[in-house]
Amino acid sequence: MKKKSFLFWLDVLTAALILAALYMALVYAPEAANLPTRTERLAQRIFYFHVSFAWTGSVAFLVTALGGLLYLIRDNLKWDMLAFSSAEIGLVFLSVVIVTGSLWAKPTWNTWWTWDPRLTTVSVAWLLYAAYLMLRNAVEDPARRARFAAVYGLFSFLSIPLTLISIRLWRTIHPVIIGEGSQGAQGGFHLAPPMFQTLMVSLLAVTVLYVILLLHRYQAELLTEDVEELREKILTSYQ
Amino acid sequence: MRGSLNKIAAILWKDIRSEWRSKEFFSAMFIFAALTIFVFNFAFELHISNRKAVVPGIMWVAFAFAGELGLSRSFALEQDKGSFSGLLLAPGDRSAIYVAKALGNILFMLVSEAFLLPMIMALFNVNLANTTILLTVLAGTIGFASVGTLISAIAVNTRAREVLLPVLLFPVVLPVLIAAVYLTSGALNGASAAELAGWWKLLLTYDLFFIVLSVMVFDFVVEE
Amino acid sequence: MVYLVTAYAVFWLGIFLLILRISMKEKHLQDEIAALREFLNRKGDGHDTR
Repeated sequence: MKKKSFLFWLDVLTAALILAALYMALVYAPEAANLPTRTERLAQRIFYFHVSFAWTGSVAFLVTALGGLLYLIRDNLKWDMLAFSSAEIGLVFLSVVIVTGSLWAKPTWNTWWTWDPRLTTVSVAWLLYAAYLMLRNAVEDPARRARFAAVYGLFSFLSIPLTLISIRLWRTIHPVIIGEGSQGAQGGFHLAPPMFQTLMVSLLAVTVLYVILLLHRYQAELLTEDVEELREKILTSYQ
Repeated sequence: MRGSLNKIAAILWKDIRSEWRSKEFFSAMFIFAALTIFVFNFAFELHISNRKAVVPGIMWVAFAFAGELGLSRSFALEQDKGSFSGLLLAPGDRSAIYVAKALGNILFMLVSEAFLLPMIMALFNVNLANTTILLTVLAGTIGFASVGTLISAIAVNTRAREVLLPVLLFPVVLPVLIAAVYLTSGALNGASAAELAGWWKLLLTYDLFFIVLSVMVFDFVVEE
Repeated sequence: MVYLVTAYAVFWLGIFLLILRISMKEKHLQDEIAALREFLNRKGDGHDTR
């Protein structure tokens, strides 16, 4: 009971954090002064949540790969459940990143989509994890499903950096806000201190959101195990 | 070590002989890839100016489709006839099965490519007989088939395996295909060796890295 | 403005869909567990086929 109420307060905290981040992104953060049109300056406010979801989505896939690896080493189905829960959340996060990125790109780059390294890598990552979930759906036996998923998750995760490098050999137009910017980037801007604070708060809020979603999803997965056990019990009691 | 080598040779020889008798893989791979090339030939009205730009892409799409078709049969035959358990029961290291199957797939792909390349050269009137391109075909095929063998071992044990194999395979081998297309196109358009060095590193890293990883995890895939 | 509003609507939609899916799954599983438990208990009350 105690654990459950802890999770409840965490939910409340997350909701508050998300609302605070929303306020900061939409109201508190100043406009990016260097962007020429009002539409672009407004669209720039997509950036805070877009980046937070993108980072957290990547972390979700790291958790999937690590969960798979730990399953292969420890042979405990709990790790597989964690990997599965994380992949599902990560896929939704990445979908959101792709759609909102497109919505930002239209006013800024004047196109919905371009085969830029980051865009390509994200779409390939999306395909990889959609395939991961399809694979899980297509295998009945839990232990075999866990093994296949772990192996495929590992392959997917390791091929992503190579995909990124392969497309980096092209020129990029995606702005790099943190770290060194690339030449020819369009839509970049200087990150003023209030903007940085906003980004950090959104990042924190979205990360906490991911963690609680993962906890809830994992609990649901544990319930699935209980259901299986009960079914097994009923079946054996008839024999 | 010697035992493993014998096992690899035995499985590879068995696959080659059964293929030699039925020519099942080869005919399907070759005809499907040839059809792909024909379709592209009609879809793009090939003017002299854009030939060199599109041929590398067409070539690798055709190779990838042919390879995928071959991979889908790689374990399926054994799974259907139930002889895969026999392979698993054979003494020696299980990764030997992977190595033998991967070598077989690389070989079958290379044979179909050997027939497809002259066809592409004739249909599109480009010269592909060039050391860089041939080495790219070799390295690309090794990367594609080595990862593909592992994934086909996974896909064959699932429901809807014919659908699942391409869905699982293509996003993972994308770096190989991108690098191979760029190397081919670079060689066609006379790029210098220094310009292509980055792509070679990428392709060879992928090949090496994923072969090692596949050998390491194959045990988990076939564990029963 | 349209882009901004749509983008934040998409963020919320994503969060909402995840919460909906997870809570529905949780609810469904809890119901199933309750039903199975009840079934087991009733069987214990003399309806045992053994």
